[in-house]
Amino acid sequence: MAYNLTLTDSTGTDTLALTEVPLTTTPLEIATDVQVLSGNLYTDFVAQKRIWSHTWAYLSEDEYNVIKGYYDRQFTLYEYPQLTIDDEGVDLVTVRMSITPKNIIDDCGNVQDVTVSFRETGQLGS
Amino acid sequence: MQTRPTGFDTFADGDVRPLAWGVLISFTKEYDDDITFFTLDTSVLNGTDILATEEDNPLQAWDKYEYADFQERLLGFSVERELSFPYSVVSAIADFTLNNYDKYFTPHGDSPIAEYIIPKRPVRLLQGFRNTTLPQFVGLTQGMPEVSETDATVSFTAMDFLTQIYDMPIRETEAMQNVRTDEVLAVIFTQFGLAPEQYDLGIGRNTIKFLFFEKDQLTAGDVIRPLMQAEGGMLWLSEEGVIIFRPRLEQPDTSVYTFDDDNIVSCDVVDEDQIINHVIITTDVREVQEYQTVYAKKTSDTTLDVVPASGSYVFKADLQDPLLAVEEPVYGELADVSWFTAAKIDGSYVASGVTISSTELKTNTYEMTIANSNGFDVNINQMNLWGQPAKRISVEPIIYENLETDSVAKYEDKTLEITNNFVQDISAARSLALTILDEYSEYADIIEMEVKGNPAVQLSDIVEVDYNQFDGLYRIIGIKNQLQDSQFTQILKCRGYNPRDWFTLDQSILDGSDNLAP
Repeated sequence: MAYNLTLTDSTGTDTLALTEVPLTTTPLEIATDVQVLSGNLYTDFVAQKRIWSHTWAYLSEDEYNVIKGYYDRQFTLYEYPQLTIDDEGVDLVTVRMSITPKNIIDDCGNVQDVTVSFRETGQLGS
Repeated sequence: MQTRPTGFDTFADGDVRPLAWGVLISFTKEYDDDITFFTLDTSVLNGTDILATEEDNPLQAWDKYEYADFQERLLGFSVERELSFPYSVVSAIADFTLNNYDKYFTPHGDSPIAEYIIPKRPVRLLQGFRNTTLPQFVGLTQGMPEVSETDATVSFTAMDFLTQIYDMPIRETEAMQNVRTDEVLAVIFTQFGLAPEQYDLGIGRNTIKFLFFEKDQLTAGDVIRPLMQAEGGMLWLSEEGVIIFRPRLEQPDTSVYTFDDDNIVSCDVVDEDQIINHVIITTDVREVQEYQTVYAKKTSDTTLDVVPASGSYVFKADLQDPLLAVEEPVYGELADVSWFTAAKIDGSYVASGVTISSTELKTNTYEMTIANSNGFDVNINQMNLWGQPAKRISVEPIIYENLETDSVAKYEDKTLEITNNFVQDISAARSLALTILDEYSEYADIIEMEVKGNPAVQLSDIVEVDYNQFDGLYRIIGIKNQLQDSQFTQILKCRGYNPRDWFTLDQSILDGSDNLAP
């Protein structure tokens, strides 16, 4: 099975093939555990969210620029991109995107070890 | 406790509690046209609108505003209420912070609501679980919001609607005789356009023999605060937006919720004793008299009050005492009524053409606008006003004092001095003093607990505490509900409570256990 990762924002859509593994999904609890005097716990729960992350060992300059473009447009369009991962049931989920520093490794502009994280969220004001 | 649907407490008491909340703000202060019971003629963009409702409508005035939902932007809020010792009007204050990543709440910017980011915006805050939220606060924002560019947040402070009313000037002059606290409150609330459905007033125990307040000279708070002090009761705006007045002695006696080591997070004794064992009440009482002459200008008075030809003149009669009532003067010398006469400047009597067109009773004056349809000036040479003055019943103020000697022996003298002209006789002063001594002359624990909160719990609720030495009934005298960082925190300040069964006519048994009310 080949996983594809598709990013969408108001400028367009791009599908990035995940040629390597792992694609990590981390559950995120928006909740607080509180201990009462008896030593027992209760949990104030707000939401469960997910964080997806993936590391590309190598990306070409063009591939890198496509991903970086979605990251940068969060701060020019003032909106988060949407993420779709086929076969994972992730369909146009709004995500806050972050990216690790750019390591150029040759004169062609190839980039090494690019980790991108997508934190599930909602689009405020929409 | 607030009324809540079945299952609400199951979530509140549960292991995992799905928090829910609401933040509703009406920046534009526009009205929701789906709610049609209002008189839509008093809204002022920069003002405090308290609009009248029609009868039999359970909605509150503040429901009329069209609110926008900012639930998704909420970063945190806190709502705080506390009874001030030993009785009070209670104000609620709310602080809340919203996400302002797009500068939506930044004044003077590009936001579509920028021109509406100004003080006195109606706010409603709600808190609950899953799909059910209960009202926590209804009020107006205070001042401008605090905008943090670095955090991309905006913070607001809001006060409840009742607090807004306290700061507003009295709109109508009122003179009243033999009225209870609740009757005075109803008159004041009516002045501000509140319908009876918007307040729930118990029957006051204090009766005021004479009360006078003049429009624009006092704020509602100037009248309500001493009124409540003399009553020894409580007045507050509930979480739902209903103004509630409870007289002294009208207190609940059963617990509505229990706190033990499975729902108390922390519990500490507060360093406040709140002991009163000595009460001194000073009052300057007026009593309404029979009709009598309350002002007289005689022909020998050389002061000129000239009404110009075909013109009018405001005659101001200075009053020695405030009046409950005064009759409007008629022209010509008469007995047992208000009357006046006029003369030409040469002193000759004027037979007609001089009439009173309007009158206004103020605290120290009675003002009459007199019209002269004659073609010559006239002087009002005689004026006799017939009214009911409220005179001081003694030259010196009345001072009532009571002491709980056993308590003084144990805790030293803890005196509360009250100077209040709404306590209008010795019997009322004794009743108020005994009520205070009954509740405060003995030590009672005051504890502050952080608890596994239930948004339905309200100020003044009686709760049962069962943890170590804290065992028994407590009354909630302060409550702070806070939603921050995915946690609902409820902090309760509670005072040990000793329920008293006051003797009730036709219900209590003579020589039974019920106590005779002071």
